[in-house]
Amino acid sequence: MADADSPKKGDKSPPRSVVPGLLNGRYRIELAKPLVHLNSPCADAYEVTDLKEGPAELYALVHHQGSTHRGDVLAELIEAPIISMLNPVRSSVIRVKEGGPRHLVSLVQAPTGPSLAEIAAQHPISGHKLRKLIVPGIVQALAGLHSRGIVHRSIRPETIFFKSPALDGVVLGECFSCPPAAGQPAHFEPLERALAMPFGRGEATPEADMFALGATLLACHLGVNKKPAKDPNALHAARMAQGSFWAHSAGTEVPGVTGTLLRGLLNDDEGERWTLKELNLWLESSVPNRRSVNVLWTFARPVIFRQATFSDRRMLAHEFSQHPLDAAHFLRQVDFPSWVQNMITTELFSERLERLINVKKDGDLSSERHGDHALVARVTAHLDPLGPLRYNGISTTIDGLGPAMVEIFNKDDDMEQDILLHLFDSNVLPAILDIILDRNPVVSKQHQLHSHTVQLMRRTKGPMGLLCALYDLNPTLQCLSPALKDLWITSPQQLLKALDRIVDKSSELSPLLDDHVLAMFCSRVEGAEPFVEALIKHRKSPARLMTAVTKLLAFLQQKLDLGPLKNLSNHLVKSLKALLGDVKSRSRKRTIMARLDELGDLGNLPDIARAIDLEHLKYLDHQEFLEAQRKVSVLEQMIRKMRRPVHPSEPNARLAGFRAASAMGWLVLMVTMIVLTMGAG
Amino acid sequence: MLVYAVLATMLFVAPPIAALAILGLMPTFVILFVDIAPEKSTRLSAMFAFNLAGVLPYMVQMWEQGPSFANLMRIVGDVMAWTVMLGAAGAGAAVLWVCPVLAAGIQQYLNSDRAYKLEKQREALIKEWGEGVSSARRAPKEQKPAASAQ
Repeated sequence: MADADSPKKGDKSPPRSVVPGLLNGRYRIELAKPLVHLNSPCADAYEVTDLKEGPAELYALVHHQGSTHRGDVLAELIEAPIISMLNPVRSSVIRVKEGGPRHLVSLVQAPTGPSLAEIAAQHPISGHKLRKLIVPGIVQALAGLHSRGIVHRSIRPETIFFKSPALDGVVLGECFSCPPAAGQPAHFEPLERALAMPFGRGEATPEADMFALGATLLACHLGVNKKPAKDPNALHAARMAQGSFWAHSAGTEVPGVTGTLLRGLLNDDEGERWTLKELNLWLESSVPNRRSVNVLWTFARPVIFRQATFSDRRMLAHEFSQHPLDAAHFLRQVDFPSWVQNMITTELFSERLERLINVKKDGDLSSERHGDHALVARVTAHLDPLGPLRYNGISTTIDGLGPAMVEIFNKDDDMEQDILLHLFDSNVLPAILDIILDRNPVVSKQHQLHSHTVQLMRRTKGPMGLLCALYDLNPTLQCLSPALKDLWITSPQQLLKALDRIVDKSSELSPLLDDHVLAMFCSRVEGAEPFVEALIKHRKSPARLMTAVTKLLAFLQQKLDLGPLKNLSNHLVKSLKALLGDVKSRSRKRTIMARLDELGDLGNLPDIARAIDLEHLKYLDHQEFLEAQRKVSVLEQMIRKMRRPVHPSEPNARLAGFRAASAMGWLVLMVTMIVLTMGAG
Repeated sequence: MLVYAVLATMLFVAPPIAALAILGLMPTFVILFVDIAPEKSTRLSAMFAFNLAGVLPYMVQMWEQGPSFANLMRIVGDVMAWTVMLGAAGAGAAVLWVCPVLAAGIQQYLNSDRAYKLEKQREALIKEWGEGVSSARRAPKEQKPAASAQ
C-alpha cells in the first residue's frame, strides 16, 4: 500500500506519514506517556519527542476514529498562529501503532505552565489578578480568533494555561480537536445552547466565547472549579429564573469592577452581553455599564402543565421536550392559536406561523407517534426560537446538527438514527427552520445549507439519504465505511485513491462501494448524485450495476482530476470481461475484449466507460441475437424443404413435367407443319 | 376456342376434313371431357399438339386431293393412317407420363445445390452466435420438461 500520497489539486487533506508513530519523520508520539488533562472528547493527548532536537515543547493529539473535528480552524491556525494561544503546528494522517488503524494526528504547542483550574482549585483568584494576569492574554487570543471569524467555543478553566510556573500571563488552549463546545460543561454554555447535546452545541457567535469567559472567570474568582452541585435541570431553571450570573454565583455577591465584568459577560441576553470592546474598556479602567433585561421570555399568564406552573417560555419548551406525548395531548386540548396569542402578547402569532405549526385536534394514531413528536418540536421551536431544536429526545442547535449526527452515529443506536431520518425526511426540520427563521440569527446563515441537505436527502432517500446528510454537514468527517475502517479518509480524492489501492486485494469491487462510500461521493463531489442513484437502482442486475460503477468511477476520476488509476482500471476490465461472457456475438466479444485489454493498463476510467456501455451492448446483443435466431430458423426450414425428396406425383413436378410435355408437343407439331409445308412446296 | 372455331368453320367449308379432324383427335377429346385434374389445360395442350401432329398430314393430303367423303372413307379405312394418328397421341401420352418424373429429378438436383448454399449461411450464423441460435439445438432442451412429466 502506497502511504506517501502527495496532495493533489483540490485535496486539502493532511499529508500522510510512512513510519508508525512517527510524524514528519521527526516527531515520535510517546504512547506510553499520555497527557490525560489535555485530552479532548475526540482526541487523546500524548507527549512528543523531537528526534532531532530532543524533548519537544509540543504534544500530540491523536484523533479518534469516527470522530469529527474543526478542520477549517486547524488549517487556519497552522497557517497563521495566534498570539496567546496554543496553536497547532502540523497535522498528518499516520499509523500510531504498527498494524493499527490510521489516525489524524495534530501536533500542538504544549502548555508551559499549570492550568487555571489547577491554580483556582488551590485558592480563589482575586479580581486584581484576573485583571492583570488572565484577562489580557485571553482578550489578545480572542481578538485574534474573532477577527478571523473563529469562535473558540472551548473556554473553561481547564483550557487556559499559565505561560510559566511563575504564573505570568496566560494562553488559551486548542479549540479544533472536537466539534464546538463538545467538551464544555453545560453551565459554560450560553443559556440558549446549554440544553443541546454536547456535540450539537454549534459554532455559535463570538458572544458565546464571552459567556464562557465570564463563567470561567467567575468560577476562578469564587474558587469553584468543580461542576456545580445542583443538578443540570435545576441549574438551568435557576439560570432562566434569576439569570446566569446569579445562578452560577449561587447568590454570592461579587462587588466592584470584577462584579461589573462578570455581570456583563454572563448576561443571558446576547445583545446586551459584553463584547471584546467592553472588555478592553474594562481593562483600561473605564467601566462600561450594560443593562440586563430579561422580559422577552415571560408569559402573560403562568401556564400550568403537568401540575407545574411555568412563567418562562423557554422553561415550558424544555418541559414539553421532556414529556412530548403529554405535551402533544396538552396542545391538542387547547385552541392553540388563541392560547399562544393570549400567553405571548409581545409577539404577533401570524397566520403563517399558525400554518407552519399546524396543531390539529386529531391525535396521532401511529405506533411511533412521530406526528406528536414533530408537533411538539414545532411548538418548542416557536416558544424558544433561540434554543436548541428538540425532537423526540434529540436536542441540538441548528448549527450543531452535523456534529450531533456524528455523535448519534457513533452510538450506533438504530432508534436514534431512525429519529434523525424522520427529522430530515418528514418535513420536521424544514418546518422548524421556517418557524424560527426570522427570530434566530443563526438560522438565516444555516438555512440554505440545511435546505440543501434536506433536498439531497429527499432525493437519495432512506438510510442512504441520512448518510448523505451526515457527510454533507460534516466536511471533516472521515469515511466510516467498514471496508475502510483502518484508513482516515476525508476527501473524495483520498477515497478514490484508497479504492484504487484496496481493490487490488479484493475479489470484487461492488462491495467496496457501500453506502458510506457512495454517500461521501454523493455529498462531497458536485454532480455525482445521478451516478450514485443509478448505481443504487441497479444493484440487483450485475450488468447494469457494472455499467453504473464504471460510469461513476469514470466521472469521479475526471471530476477530481486524478491521474491513472491502474488497479481500478484493471479490476473494472476484469469484471467487465467476466460479464462479457453473456455477450453472444463472438466477433463483438473479440473486438471488445481486445479493446479492454488495450485500456486495462492505461488506468483511464473515462476511456473504459466510453468504450464499453455494457448495458447498451447487452441490449444490442440480445436484439441482434433474436434477429439471428429468426434468420437461422427460416434457413433451417428452407434447408429441410430443399433436402426433401421430390416425387413426380407432387403438383409442382407434375405441372413442370406437363408444361415440358406441352412444349415438346407444340415443337413436334411445328416440325410437322414445316415438313408438310416443305413437302407441298 | 380457336380450335373449336377452326373446326366449326371447316364443318361448313370442308365437312370431310372436319370429320377427319374429329375422328383423328378423338384421344384429345377424351382428355377434354374426362380429365378433371388441376393440370388439365396443360395436359390437354400437350395431347392436342401431339395428336394434331399425327392428324395434320392426312388433313393436308385430303385438302390437296379435294375434300370428299370418298377420300375420307379411304383414309378412315387405312390402318396406317390410324396407326400414325393414334400413335402420335400415344407418344403424347408417353411424354406426359415421363416428363413429371424427369422434372422431379431435375428439381431435386437443383434443390440440393440451393440447400448447400443455405447451409453455408446457417453455419456462418451459428459460428457468430453459437449453437444456441439454432432451433435444432434448442429443441431438445425445450422438450426436456415434457419428457420428465411423462
